[in-house]
Amino acid sequence: MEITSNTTEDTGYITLIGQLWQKEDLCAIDEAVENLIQNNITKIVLDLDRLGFINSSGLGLLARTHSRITELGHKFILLNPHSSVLEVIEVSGFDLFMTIAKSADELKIILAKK
Amino acid sequence: MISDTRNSGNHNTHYINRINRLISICKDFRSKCKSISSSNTELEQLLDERSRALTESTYKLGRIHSELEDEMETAKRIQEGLMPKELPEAVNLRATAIYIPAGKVGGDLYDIIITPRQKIAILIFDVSGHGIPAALITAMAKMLFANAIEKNDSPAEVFREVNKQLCNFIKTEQYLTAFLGVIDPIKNTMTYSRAGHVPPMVYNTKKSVVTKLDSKGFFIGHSALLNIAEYWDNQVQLAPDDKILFYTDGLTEGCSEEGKLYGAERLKDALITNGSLDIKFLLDKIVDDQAKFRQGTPLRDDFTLLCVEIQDSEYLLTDSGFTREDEPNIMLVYALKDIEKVCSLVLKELDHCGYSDKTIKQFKICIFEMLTNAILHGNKGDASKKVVIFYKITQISASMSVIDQGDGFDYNSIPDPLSPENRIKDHGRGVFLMRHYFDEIHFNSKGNRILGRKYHGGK
Repeated sequence: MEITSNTTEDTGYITLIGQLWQKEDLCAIDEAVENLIQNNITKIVLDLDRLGFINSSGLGLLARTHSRITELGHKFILLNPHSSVLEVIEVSGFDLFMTIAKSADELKIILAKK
Repeated sequence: MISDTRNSGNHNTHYINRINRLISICKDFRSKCKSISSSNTELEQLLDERSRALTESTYKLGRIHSELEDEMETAKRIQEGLMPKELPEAVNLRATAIYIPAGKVGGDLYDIIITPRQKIAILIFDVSGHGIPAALITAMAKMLFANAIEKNDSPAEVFREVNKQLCNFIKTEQYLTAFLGVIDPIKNTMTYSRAGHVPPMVYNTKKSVVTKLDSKGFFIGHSALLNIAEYWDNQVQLAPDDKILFYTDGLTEGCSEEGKLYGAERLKDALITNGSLDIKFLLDKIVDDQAKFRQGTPLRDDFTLLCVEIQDSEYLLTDSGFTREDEPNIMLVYALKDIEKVCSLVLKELDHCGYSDKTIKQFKICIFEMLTNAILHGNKGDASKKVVIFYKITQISASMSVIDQGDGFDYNSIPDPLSPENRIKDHGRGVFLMRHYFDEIHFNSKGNRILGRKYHGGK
């Protein structure tokens, strides 16, 4: 899969393209998150718009990342998950405790909130 | 010249004439000697030139010969490279092969291919002649066979297709003989066709008898056969422990010092004598037997021996939750990288049977979870251990059973991933997703097999 990371002011964006299930991809995302934290980024957005597939290992990564970021008092937002990925996220109950922005406008509102 | 100035009579004149003649001859001789000497010098020069030209030509010939030898050696290596490095492991069979070169580029080739319909295709062929032309045809035929086998499980149909293609390519008098057997691992049958190839032999271990897989069929690839060649499918029922011996005629045409052929009868006897051995040793024994028969007489042709042993898969089938009558498809995987191949095959069938996109995506998640569990947790990531997959997709339901070689675990003691205290635990989420998406899910008592089923139009 393709993983890219960029920042704008205090927000870091990690974009995932492809299928999220392989160990090396999970490690690469962990590393990208850790880099953002080290650079004092307090809002981390995982852009799932072009993520076509996620399995339980990918869900595990989302859960761990959420826990790591929120424990620091930072924000962790899932952006625009594809319907099939969103369904798995919802089935797993992640929508109950994770912040999901279903559009760019929704993301702006969430990021603006203190 | 002496002249008759003293006028001493006729007698003297006669002597003087003789002397003068002698002097003339001497002069002539000297002149001719000079001429011969000059010719000798010319001849020597010519000889030197010819000798130089010959040396040069010999050198050039030597270089061309050496280049040809190098090319033949490369061709030989390329051809040997066409032989499969490792034979794929299938659920109910083991295979081993030996190729004995006769010091030149030959035209033997064998292959074992797992077809997209999960049948096991066993191919052996022998191109007529030797050298670069045979090697080129071998390479071409290997590709054509692989393509045709990919599309069709009927050996006769594969032969028809390859014959048609090869007849268009081969413009020489060359052709090939071939045998193709397609084994159904669930029914334990082999459908086969013979294209003028030496008939393989099936050794039944329990009865210690050999059956020849003889049948009619034309050669392949000879342009004269384009519109007349015909091939037929035959079928043989196999039993666990049966050993099928495929070979090329270089084996049976090995000659003794007296010029006798090793022959199929001696091969059959060697197979009966050594049939109870492990297939690797069995092939070694046959090669030794033929070498002993030849008593050092050089091989006239290279030969190939391929032995396939049928193993009992009944216990796996019983454990899978399927019956033989269900006629499930069967596959083997060893590592995570194999998962996408399985997905691609199964999801294509789901699509073909009219399942919705949503169902297909849900089934995909289940395949990933079943196989990840089996490979990482069941087999603990050990790539030498296999995971056996049985699946059957119909328009009513899609079922998949996955068996690993691990010790199994209790699927009922898995933590609930929805509980807040289990959120960041990896354990249990996969089984949770499978339980959610499958309409039915069953575990065996050992805990190393999971069977999931989704109905057309189900949840």
